[in-house]
Parts: sequence; structure tokens; C-alpha cells
Amino acid sequence: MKKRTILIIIAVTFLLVSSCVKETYNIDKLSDYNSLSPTYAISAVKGDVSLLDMLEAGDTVTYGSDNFMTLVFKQDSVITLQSSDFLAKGPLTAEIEPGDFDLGMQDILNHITGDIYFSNPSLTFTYSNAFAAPLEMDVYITGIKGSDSLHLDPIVFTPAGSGVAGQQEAGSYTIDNTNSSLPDLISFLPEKIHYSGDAYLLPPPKSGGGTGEKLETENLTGSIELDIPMQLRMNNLQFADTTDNFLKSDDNGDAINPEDFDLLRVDISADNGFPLGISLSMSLYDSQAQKVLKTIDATDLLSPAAVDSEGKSSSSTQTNTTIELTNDFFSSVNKADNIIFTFKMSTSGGGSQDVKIYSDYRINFKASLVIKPGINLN
Amino acid sequence: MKVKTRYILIIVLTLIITDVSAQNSQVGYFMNLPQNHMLNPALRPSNSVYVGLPGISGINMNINNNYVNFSDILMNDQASDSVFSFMHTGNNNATVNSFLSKIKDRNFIEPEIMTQLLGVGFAVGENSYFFLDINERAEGNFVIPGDLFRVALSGNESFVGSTIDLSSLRASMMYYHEIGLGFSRNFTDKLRIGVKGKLLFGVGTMKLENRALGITVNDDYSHSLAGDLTFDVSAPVKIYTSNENIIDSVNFDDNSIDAGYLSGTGNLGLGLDIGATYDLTDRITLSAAVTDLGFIKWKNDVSNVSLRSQFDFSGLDMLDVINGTKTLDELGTEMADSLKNSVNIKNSSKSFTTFLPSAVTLGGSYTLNRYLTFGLLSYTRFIGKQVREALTMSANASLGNVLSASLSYTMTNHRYDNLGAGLAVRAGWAQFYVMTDRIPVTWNRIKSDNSDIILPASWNTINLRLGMNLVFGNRVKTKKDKPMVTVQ
Repeated sequence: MKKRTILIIIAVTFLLVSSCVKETYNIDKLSDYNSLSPTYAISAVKGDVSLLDMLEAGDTVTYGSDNFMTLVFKQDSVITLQSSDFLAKGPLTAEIEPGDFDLGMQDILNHITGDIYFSNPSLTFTYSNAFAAPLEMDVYITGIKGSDSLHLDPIVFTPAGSGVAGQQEAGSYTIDNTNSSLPDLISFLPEKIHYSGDAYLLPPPKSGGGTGEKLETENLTGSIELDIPMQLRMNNLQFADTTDNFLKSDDNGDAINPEDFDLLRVDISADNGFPLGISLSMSLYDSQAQKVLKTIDATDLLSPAAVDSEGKSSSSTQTNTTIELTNDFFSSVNKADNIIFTFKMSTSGGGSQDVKIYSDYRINFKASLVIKPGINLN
Repeated sequence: MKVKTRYILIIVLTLIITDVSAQNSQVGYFMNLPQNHMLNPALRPSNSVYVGLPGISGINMNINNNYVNFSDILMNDQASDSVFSFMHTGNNNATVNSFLSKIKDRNFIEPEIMTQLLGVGFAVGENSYFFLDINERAEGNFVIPGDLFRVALSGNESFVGSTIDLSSLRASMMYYHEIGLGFSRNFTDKLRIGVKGKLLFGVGTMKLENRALGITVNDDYSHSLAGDLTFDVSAPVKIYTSNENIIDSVNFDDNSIDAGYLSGTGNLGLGLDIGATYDLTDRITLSAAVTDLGFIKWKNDVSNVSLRSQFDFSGLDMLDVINGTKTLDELGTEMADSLKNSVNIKNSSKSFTTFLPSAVTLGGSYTLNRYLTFGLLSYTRFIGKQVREALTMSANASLGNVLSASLSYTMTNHRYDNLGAGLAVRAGWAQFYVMTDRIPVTWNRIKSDNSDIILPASWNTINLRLGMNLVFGNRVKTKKDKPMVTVQ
């Protein structure tokens, strides 16, 4: 038995003694190149918004009782005719002082190119006429966009009058798609509308013509209102804007360095009730070299909703879009000084039919971020 | 090597080189050791008197983990003679994924330190044995959910459609003095029963109770957080909360740690060990014990923080930004406030109770002859709702009361390659012993300019226990067997 015990002791001792060094790790030669690249996903933003949330009703944006949207531009005292105006220019004729009707949208319109067609705009002259004699108004309307212009045919109308000198008679005259090519002019997207014209007294005054004695209390004042109902169609209307490269890391070192990202993905899902589709592209631009370095495209960011025969949305359209910014993209971020955003918009049917915009249209969207940072542990 | 990498590696290594099973050594159960009564108070050594002195009667070291080994953390590049970590750049996360494949759903870290300040045992007559222990004990129980590693190293995208399950997150630490007085006696020729009562004096504790904690990641990447936690502390720690019930600060008053504090008796507790052995036949002995039944009532320097939260985040609602009533910054601030407000924190100072991690030991031995005994031992430990099981088979040799040796095989911790050994040798009144539950066969050398460390290649179970007892009145158990041949 002693032998057995001794054998056990020997076996244990052997196991302990025979223990050997399997590997040697020289910590001083530990690689500096350590990093982690976890993938984190989080829902970032969401929203369920109607047009009313984005554009409140006001002087320019109005909604009818049926929620139909109309843009309204007004300018008072566009036409002011005094009897002396007739005397100044000559018997029976007065000049409507030329002026511009600024729509105040130059900043936006400068970035827009492409085809859009407003089907049913209207331009209304609202006047108060105190001339006893009938007047004929010849008004010339021109849309001006930069160096381009588009003319309407002369608008000739006769303001209603009381027939009694000095007694105001209110009235209005409207031009629209039935009596003019106003839709073409508005769809031209003018920065301003230039107006001018002449006024004629018909028939000539019975006495004192040219003296003005009996005309001195007679006048006409008029304002102008441009109504653009949002009944429209567009195809690849493009809005482009250039911003400073906000992704570029600062020199102070505390900004996030975009090169540290292996991946930044934006997943966007939208349920679009608007009959308007949007595509987006984002380009890194080197202004020194005048070169686009990288472009990210998000076609069909929003697909337009289907519309009924009246052009009203009949159902919403679901879209899912992924915008992926890869390491390749981030490697160019610090070389670009500008980012060019380009939106392309088309109405339902690719602009082949009119659509109508109502305030109760909604869009429900969610955007999630998937981030794969390269966490450098060096 | 840069500081950041060192720092991370140190954290990882610290998490891993820690005892997970923390059980008492199974190897010594069938050996002739005075300390065996800690596993079963019915066990007694062959000597009549033993004295265990502070610092030398027992040093117990456990290094154990249930998930990775050194080679999963650091790897040698044979081609370049360099060393790289599992976070090495440029291998498409292969090493990180390999590391994560070793991670369990529940990764236990249960350090336990016990130092015997004084141990005395003596026999009274043939049948009775009395013993007294004064021990310093510190126990910890940490469970790190595997999902915590996975989300930290791989992110949350892989959890889409499921829950980042942190419900297994646990943390508790407890440091206390133990004074135990025990007694064992042969009640019949075959039955021996032992019992040990313990008076416990708590020094400090920390306990995180987790009733629910998880983050559900939905298909649209929205997140739902649900948490229900309680954090109890008995230590010179003050937790301050603001009027909004947000934890403002946590202050640790290290000036109050003095001899008076360490010897305080404000946190009293009781414990009990009870055990029995039964000689089924002359050769077969059965034994059973329940140890560490007990509790400590913590009353001194108590702070309780309970936290409940249910928070859903599905993205910032841009409606207010779009209609111009708020800015994006304001939305972000609101979201952070909502998260804070969703956390219902209550701060109080109510006494609380912690229970000792009790254990059940079942053993059986077969005595082949006076030199050799085979043993089978089941050791089950209950740590809260967690159960740890170890099953040990051993061959135990004794040469009178001079030498006692054991060779064991233990299945524990989902490992089936634990070969252990123990050896106790008496020289006069001095008994030396050494034992290990797992014999490290291979080692790794960690070299640096300033140091050269040898570590076992496998960390799953490393246990070393050694010490010296003063033993007196040594005797050899008289066999009751009648000689088969009597010479007149």
C-alpha cells in the first residue's frame, strides 16, 4: 500500500513539476493598434405633421373652408389716377404709373429650376372709381425673373363707375386662365410682376376738356391681388442650395472627426399623404478645385400620394429610404468646403396631372441612425 | 503601449482573474485536516488538539472564471513577435467576435476571502470535539450579463427585435467578522453530529438587487427601458439626491475607517453550520452538512436607493421644431429631462438584512483499506437565486497521521477538466498542508521591462490553499475490525 501512496504522490508531483510555460507574452511589444467598431442603432427623429403644422394660415397662406390652400399676394395703391393725371399727359389719356409687385420670394426662386405649372392663378384689380366718365384701362403685365421676362397680352377693362363725379364706385376685374395666359406667367416663377398701362376717359368730357376744372374731384385708386391656388403639377422641379461644410472637423480638436466613422446610415420611413414626391442628393464640393468629390443620392425619399380625378390625395404612400455614408464618403469630408443639397420634386403621376394641396394632408415619418464609429484605443 | 489600451486591458483582466465559484476546496474534505469542520462540523481531525494561528493556519487563493482564458485576451503574432489584444485593429472584428463567443449569458464573479485569525479545536473524551474559530470573511457576488459585453463591444444593432437582457446583473459585497463555536459528538457507534453556531459582526456591505432591467430594441430602432433596482449600502458612504430625486453625489468618508469602525458591533448577525456523518458499513461512510445558514442585520451607516424606470424612446418628435415652437436643442433637453423624470428614485436609511450564501454538502466515502479511501462529494452553494454545483471524485491516501494526500477530479462551473491534488504532512506538532482544485499544467509568462509574471494558461479554475496548523495529541484511529486471524 505504501507503494500506491508513493505512486500517487509521485503522480501529483509530476503534474506540478511537468507544468511548463506554454506561451510568452511580451507586453512591451503589445500592438498599439486597438480599436472597436460597434454598431449602434437608434431612432433619431419622428413626426406626424400636417401642412397646417408647417404653414400656418396668414396673409400669404390661406386655407379655404374645404382646407384648400391658396397663396395670396397683395399690394395696395397699385393704381392711383387723379384727374390731374389726365391733364398732365394730355386730354383723355393718363399713364398708369409703372411699378413692381414684389412677391418676396426671390431667395427661394433663385434656387429653383425645372417645370412647375400653376393651373388656376388669378390676378384681381380692386378699385374705387370716382370718375364720372367711363374709363378704359389698358394694363401691361410682365413677369421678371433675372434678365428674363414674360409678358401677358394687354389687359383692357372698363372699371364700373357711378357716373357722378366724385362718387366712389367700387369694383374689381380679374384675369385668370379664362381670359389670359396668367398661368404661364406665374409658372414662369417670376421674382416680381411689373405693371404699367394707360387709362382713357370715354367719351370725352362735355366741357372743360384740358382745363381740369370739373375733373378735380375725380379719381381712381386700385389695388392688386394675386391668388395662386395650390392646384399645380411639377416634374423634377429642382431646389439646390449650397452650404458651408458643417461635417468638416474643427481645428480645435473637440469636434467629432467624421473620419472616425466607418458607417453612418440614416434609415427613413415615411407615410406621405402629399401628392408630392421628393428626391434628395447631397454632394461634397471642393470650391477650390471646383469639383464634386462625393455624392449621396436618396431617390424617392418621399413618393407622392395617389390622387383622385380631382387631384386630391386619395391615399398615402409608404416609402423606406436608406442613406448610407460610408468610410469612403467620410474620407472626402475634410477635403470639401461646401455641401450642395439638391431636392427634386414631382407631383403625382410625374407631373402629368394637376394635384391640389390641402391643409389636412399629413406626413408621418421616422428617421433612425445606424452608427458604426471606429473607436480608436491607441 | 498607450495608457488607454493598458487601462482597458487591466479592467478586462481584473474582471476575469477573479474567483467565480469561491467554494471551499473540495480536495481537503476527505483529508486529515482540522479545517474540515468548515465544510462539515461533524468532521474532526485525528489529533486531539489543534491551534491555527493568524496568517499561517490557512491561506486560500481562488482564481476562477467561467468565460475566457488569457489566450482569448492577448494573442502572440508568431510572424512579427508582437502581441495583440482581442481588440486589435484590422481583422474585421474576428478577435472581438471570438472573445464574445466565449461570453456566457451570465458571467459570474464571486470572490471570497477568508482569513482565520484564530482556530482552536480539542477533543473531550473519545467522542466529543469542540472547536472555536475567529474568521475574517469577505464575500462578493457579481453577475455580469453577457448582453452587457455584447452591447458594449458589438453595439445594439444585433439586438433589434429582442431585448438587451440585463436582468441577471447582480452585485453584492459583504465584509464581516465571524466567531464560531462548534461541537461534534458520536451519538452512536455510527452516527456523528456536529453543529457550529456563529456570531457575525458586519463591517460593511453593498447590495444591488435587480428585479428587472432590460432594454428592448424594436424593429424601428426605438428603445424601451425597464428597470427596477434597489441598492443598499452599509458603509461610510453618503448618497445625496436633489429635489428632483436625481442622485447628486456619492461621498465616501474614508476618515471614519478606523479601528473603532472595523470592530463595531452595530451590524449583528447569526449563523449556523450543522452536519453529520454516518458509517453505513465498516467501509462506507456517508456525510451531509448545511453550512453558512445565517444573516446579518445591517443598521450602521445605512443608505438605500430604490430606482424604478419605464422609459420609451422612439425619437425626438419634430412637430414642435417644424411648427417653430421649439428648437432641436430644447427637444434634446426635454428628452433628457423625461429620462430623468422617468427614474423614480427613493433615498432612505432603513436597516436591511443580507443572508449568507449557504451551502449543502453531501459526501460518501469508501475505505478500501487503512491507507486508501475513495470519496464522492457534492457541494451545492446557494447565492440568492443562483445555485452553484460542484461534484468531486477523489482518491485519498493516508499514512498514519503523518501524511494525508488526495487526488481529485471535479466537475464544476461547466468545466470537466479540473484535476486537483492535496497533501498534508505532519512533522511533530506542526502540520503543513497544500491543496489545489485544479493543477495548472501549462503556464504563460507575461514579460515586460519591469516584471516577469507567470500565470496559468487556463484561468477557469485555479485554486491554491496552503497553511500550517499546530497539532497535538496525534493519534491513529483504532480500527474496530477484528483480525481475521488471531494468534494466541
